[in-house]
Amino acid sequence: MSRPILTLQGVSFRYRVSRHEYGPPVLKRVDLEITPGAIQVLIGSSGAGKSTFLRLLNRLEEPTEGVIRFDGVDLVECDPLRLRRDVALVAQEPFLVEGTVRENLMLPFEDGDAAGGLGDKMERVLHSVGLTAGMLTRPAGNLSVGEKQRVSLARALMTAPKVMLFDEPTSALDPDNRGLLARTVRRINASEAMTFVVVTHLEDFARELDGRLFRLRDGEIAAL
Amino acid sequence: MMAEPIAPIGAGQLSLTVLLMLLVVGLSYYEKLALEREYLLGVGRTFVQLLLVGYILEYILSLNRWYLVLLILAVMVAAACQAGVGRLRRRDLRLYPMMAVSLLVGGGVTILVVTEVVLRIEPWYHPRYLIPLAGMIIGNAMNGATLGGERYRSELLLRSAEVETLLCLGFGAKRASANARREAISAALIPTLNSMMVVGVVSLPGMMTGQILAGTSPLIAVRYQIVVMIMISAAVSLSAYLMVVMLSRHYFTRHHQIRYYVLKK
Repeated sequence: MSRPILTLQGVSFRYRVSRHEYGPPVLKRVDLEITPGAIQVLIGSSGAGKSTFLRLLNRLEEPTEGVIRFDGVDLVECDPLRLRRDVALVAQEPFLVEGTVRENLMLPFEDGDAAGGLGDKMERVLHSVGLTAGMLTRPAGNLSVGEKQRVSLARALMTAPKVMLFDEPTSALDPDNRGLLARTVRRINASEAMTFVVVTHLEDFARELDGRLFRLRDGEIAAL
Repeated sequence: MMAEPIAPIGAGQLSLTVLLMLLVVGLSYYEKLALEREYLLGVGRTFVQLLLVGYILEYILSLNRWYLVLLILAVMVAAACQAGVGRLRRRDLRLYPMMAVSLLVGGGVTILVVTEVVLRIEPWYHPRYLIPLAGMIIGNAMNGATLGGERYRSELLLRSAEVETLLCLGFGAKRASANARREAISAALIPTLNSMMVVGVVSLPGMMTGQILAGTSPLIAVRYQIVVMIMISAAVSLSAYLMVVMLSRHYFTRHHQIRYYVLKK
């Protein structure tokens, strides 16, 4: 078996409520390995700490205890900005900047570090999330929730991350769109060998993703 | 034009303002505003605080000592700091040093430029100039820092999805919070901009009115007022900017994470 791309060792997490005080535990001594190139799905009820789990993986939060490693390197040693391009997170409520879909896809490159050929790349990522190049000129504000979700995923794909963290992607989707999204994730995973960590509270959607299943309950994560 | 000697207000004349006070109390009673007590307390404080300041200023102007002038300025900054943090309504002791720095730097630079470069007062601490000008500058710097700071915090909370999306795309805290910062600094400047637009047309500023009442030529009074308006805009923008920049370091970790426990406190 290939070396895990992300490893959690004894990871506990509590939110800070003040400088010296912490709230109740959200994660308790979690040990977990994320397999590269695979889809892993974390199921849990709302409020179980699924989003928190993802936020730890791209260093939006720091574990209160334990170590998380990316490609064998402790996250505290990683530059968080670089890490977040390698371990991308698509939030539950997609946020698109004002302007067109094109401007949104170009957003990660506004520093000017684009490697050229962005036009082709935009068309390719749109295609991979099931949208067409015709979308590029549409104002982001006029998109449906499902389309926003896809554009948000496409934007995260633009930086060619190694791991894609996907937070409750179905929260605003109807069953048809959910099926479509599951197929999209499977397709990208197969074609790009991209690692996915998807969290959801929907068992059906989790099974549709056809990946390794885990359950988060009472702060503990167990394989299903 | 020679300034005519100003007509002094005697204690008897001052007490005649009671006629106007009765008008307010009467209105409050008639319309059941229940503001009589508060109004009379306000009147009392106005009399006591201003008479006290009058005596202190008279004393300081007559002594004309630089250390006394600096002492007065320090008291002003401390009081503004306390009032400004109080208005932010957060139980956060770290706001005090931030407020102090924005007032001292934002206000200090403005005071220095106005008194030493523009007006070139002699001696540098001339209390007749320095104290009233510094009072205006510090008061406005406090408003700028408070408005900017409060707006920055609420913008960050309102725009948390935007800020987090940008952080997740690999942008630093500075870029991720740029819109919030922009809104906050603009919001702090808007009252000043508004008053600059209507000054002299809709309203005659208090200082100018005072100078004219005291017999200064309106032509000189307006020049002072122009200096005052510009110095206020400088103090407001500089202190609002400093406050927002310092708050940014307070609300984000150096690893570009939002400190929600501070932001939501």
